[in-house]
Amino acid sequence: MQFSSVMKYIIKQQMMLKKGLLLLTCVFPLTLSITAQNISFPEDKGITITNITPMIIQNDLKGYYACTYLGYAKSAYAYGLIVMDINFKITKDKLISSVMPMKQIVFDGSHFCMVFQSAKYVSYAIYDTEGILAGEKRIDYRDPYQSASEALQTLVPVPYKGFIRRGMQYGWDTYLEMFDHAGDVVWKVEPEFYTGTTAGKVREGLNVIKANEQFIIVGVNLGAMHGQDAKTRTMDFQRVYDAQSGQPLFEINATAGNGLRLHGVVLEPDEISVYGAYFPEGKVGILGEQWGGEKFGFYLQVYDAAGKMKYEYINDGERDLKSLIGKIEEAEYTEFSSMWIHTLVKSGERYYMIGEMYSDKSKTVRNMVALEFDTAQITPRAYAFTKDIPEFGSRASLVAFQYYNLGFNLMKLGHFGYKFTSQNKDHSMFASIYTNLDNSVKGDEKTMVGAIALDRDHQIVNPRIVLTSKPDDVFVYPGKPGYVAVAEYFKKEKKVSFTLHKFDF
Amino acid sequence: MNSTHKRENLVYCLFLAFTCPSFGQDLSYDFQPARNFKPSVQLIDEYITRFSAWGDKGITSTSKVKATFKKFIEQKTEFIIALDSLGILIYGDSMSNLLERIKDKIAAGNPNLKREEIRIFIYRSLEPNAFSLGEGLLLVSTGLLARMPHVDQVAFVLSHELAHDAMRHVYSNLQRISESLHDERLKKSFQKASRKKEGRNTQINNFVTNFIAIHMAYSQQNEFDADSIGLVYFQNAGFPISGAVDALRVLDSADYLLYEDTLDLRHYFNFSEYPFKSYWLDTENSALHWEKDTLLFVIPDSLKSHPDCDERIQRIRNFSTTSMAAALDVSTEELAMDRLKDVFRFESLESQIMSRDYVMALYLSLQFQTQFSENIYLKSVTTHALIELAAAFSRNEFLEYVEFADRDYPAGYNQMLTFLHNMNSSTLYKLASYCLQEKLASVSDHAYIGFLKVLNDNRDGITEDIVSLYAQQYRDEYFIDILKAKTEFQMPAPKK
Repeated sequence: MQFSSVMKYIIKQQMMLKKGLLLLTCVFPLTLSITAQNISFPEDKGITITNITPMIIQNDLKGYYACTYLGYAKSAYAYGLIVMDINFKITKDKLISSVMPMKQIVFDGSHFCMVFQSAKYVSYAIYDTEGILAGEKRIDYRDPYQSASEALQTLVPVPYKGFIRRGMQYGWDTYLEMFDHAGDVVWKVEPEFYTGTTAGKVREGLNVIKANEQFIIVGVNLGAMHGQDAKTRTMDFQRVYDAQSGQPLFEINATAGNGLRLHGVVLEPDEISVYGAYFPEGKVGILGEQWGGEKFGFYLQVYDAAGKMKYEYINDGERDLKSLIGKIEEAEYTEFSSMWIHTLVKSGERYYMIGEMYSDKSKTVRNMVALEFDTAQITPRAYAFTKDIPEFGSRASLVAFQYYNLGFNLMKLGHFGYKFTSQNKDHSMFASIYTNLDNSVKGDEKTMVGAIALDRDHQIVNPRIVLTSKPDDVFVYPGKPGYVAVAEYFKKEKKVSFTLHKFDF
Repeated sequence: MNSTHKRENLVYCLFLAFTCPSFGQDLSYDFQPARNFKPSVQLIDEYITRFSAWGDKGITSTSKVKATFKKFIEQKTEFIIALDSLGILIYGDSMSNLLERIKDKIAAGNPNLKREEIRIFIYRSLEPNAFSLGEGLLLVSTGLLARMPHVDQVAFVLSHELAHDAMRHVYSNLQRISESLHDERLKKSFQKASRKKEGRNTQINNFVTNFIAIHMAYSQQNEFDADSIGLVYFQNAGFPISGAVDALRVLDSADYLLYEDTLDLRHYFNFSEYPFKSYWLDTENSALHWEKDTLLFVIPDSLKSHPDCDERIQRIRNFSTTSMAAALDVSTEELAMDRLKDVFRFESLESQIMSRDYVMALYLSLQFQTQFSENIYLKSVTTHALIELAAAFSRNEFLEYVEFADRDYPAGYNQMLTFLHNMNSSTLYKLASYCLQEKLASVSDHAYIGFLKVLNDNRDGITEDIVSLYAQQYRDEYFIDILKAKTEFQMPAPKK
């Protein structure tokens, strides 16, 4: 037995003591391998690195769950629902069975909604975290294709209240419906009909973007709009609904030619922040125009509960971006770069926008950027965090893309380093996690997991974790701010190691 | 107590105080672990030779079984070597002397026990445990001795282990497991289970559970046998049955830490220039938000190596004979036990530092400070744990040392884990620095404090020059060796 294994043996013995095993009197020498950092799951539970889902509600990580298909027997599909705490310790392990296959599962903070689909109907089963059925909702369809489509429609959780589903009616028209934990309908939003100057009506397509206990942000699409109408009204905009009643409150950026393309929404009490890309030419969203083929910047808008704009910052991309990022001495900025906006976080009275630069010229993904917005200041403060090497490089399939289109495809194909952002309950801290290859020692390249974090002293810091094991691929999972779970895949050994790390900040 | 006994006690205590440093320490001021009292190399070699001889006799089964049995023996000898190399074995100190005296008392009442062939090693561990390795070698942990305040309780534990030894349970266990691992019927049924297309995992699970249950049933029977034979030894020596029952009650409570209450951490970590921060006790990251399913992780009695303590107590009461030997006078040993009980606790704490369980070391050192508030060793352990945890943070090894809070842990330990999860390396180093400045600054020429200063001042790595400087000043072999080991690991240079 090696030195370390004896140490582990002794530590393991102590852990066994803490966990309630009885004493060992006759020693039975076994070599045990433990570290508190490694995570392992029972093999018979069917937990894989792809089916572990973080349970994040209002930026607060509750834990993780894994829903696994166990098999089909005696006319029933069996699923295992495993709930884990933030330390990946299994706290619940329940068996769910249904005569139909499961298509979706969504968690709202206290309940799971599982969508089951058969040829004739779709069933929404609501289970609590104990695995007990709390409610059920069934929608019948004549057409099996429609029920199949319905089962895959957007299902968005309203924290601790229920779920909003996007339904289909009148053929392929959409509507929104919120139901509670008992499966009872709370409200229903029918699509409006926009009547423009041209003949005919334009039916809206509705899609829920985000919801909290106060607001629902719905993306509205006027796909069939054309002609004169298209010059007065944008094709894609957002409408805010009251989460309690389902009544429309106000619209955001619905005027034509505003050049704004939404990336995300942050919902706070009595406040809505929207952010995304800004096209100075204002052409985005106009029918027939190829969006994204032009230089672009970004925007941030903050609205109050009545729809009044409280703060707006618009960056035109080229000139404005240079003036922001160029001030940072450490920033590698030798050629024109675009910035893809990944997320926005609010802490106190400040907003933090996390972006990643990429070069249209060399087709490479470059530095991470954090922009700190103080609503009392006009210009945000920029922080750039250099990466060791530019990733992605030139790829034949992406060479033709430029500017926004390139960024959009890099995002869709997963070439950006940014992974996720987690924030603590009182929003005093956050950590945006990204991965990168560390080649600071030539010939000894390692994968690095970095964080752009707001620490307890309200300073932006950049702690990093170097993975010395040289994995072939890395998956990261959200943890509480400061923590990250890393699954490292080793192709040759056909092995995955799963570890939890804490950033030093 | 008559005058002869008083004289004997006095002579014994004087003997211990002069020969065995553990006994005469003033724990209100400082503590010196018994690091220099360990079994000799010859003694360890002797046992290795004896255990190796096991492999050459007895087993009449197939060569595969013999090979497996030999492997078990090898692991066993490696285990002893490792315990010795870790420096956690204590032998020849006042603590060992006390156990030798108790053993002699047991042997005196049981002539069939060859007392010269029985040897007891104490090992430093918080875990309350005692075990027989065979060949008359018993190991008793400081954690167990710290929990047993009376001589008769310790005497029952030793009697129980002597019974295991006399019945050669270790040998027969290893032999049985070796044979069953190569049992053809078992192999076939396992292969059959693993070929199943559906329900294979359940079948294999059941198979493994049954396998363990069968062996645990043997183990539990061994425990009952050792209890009954041990009780005969115990009573023949003149110890009262209440000691056996009390000992089992202590073992029953061994699942729990002795110290469970939360601490006033503000009292320990509030410095004039670095005040305590309220967010250090923020429970958001403590992972206690989920109610645990009580049906999960319950280990059935059939899979435990030891039977339920209540049942053991009941059986002991049934076994006990009314015709016992004349009552034994153990007042001298009781006195020594009383003087050493805190030493056992301190040695257990030392084991936490030695086994690098810095969280438990930090927790216990603070708990002990509620009683020994001025003890330099305890303050040094606190500082040492903080420095090591800070260094672990810098190496991205923090979570290897610091678990998450858990509902199974006592409130005090969970509070400590929560506190640590709200730290970063810089905060931990700051706390350690202020501990050195404000709590240990008045102590001069102290090897442990000197060692801590070296660690704190050289966070990026220890060089050989630093070790030589320390060696010149303090000449403490133990800390010099630790520093030398640290020279092998250097922190990577900070990135430009």
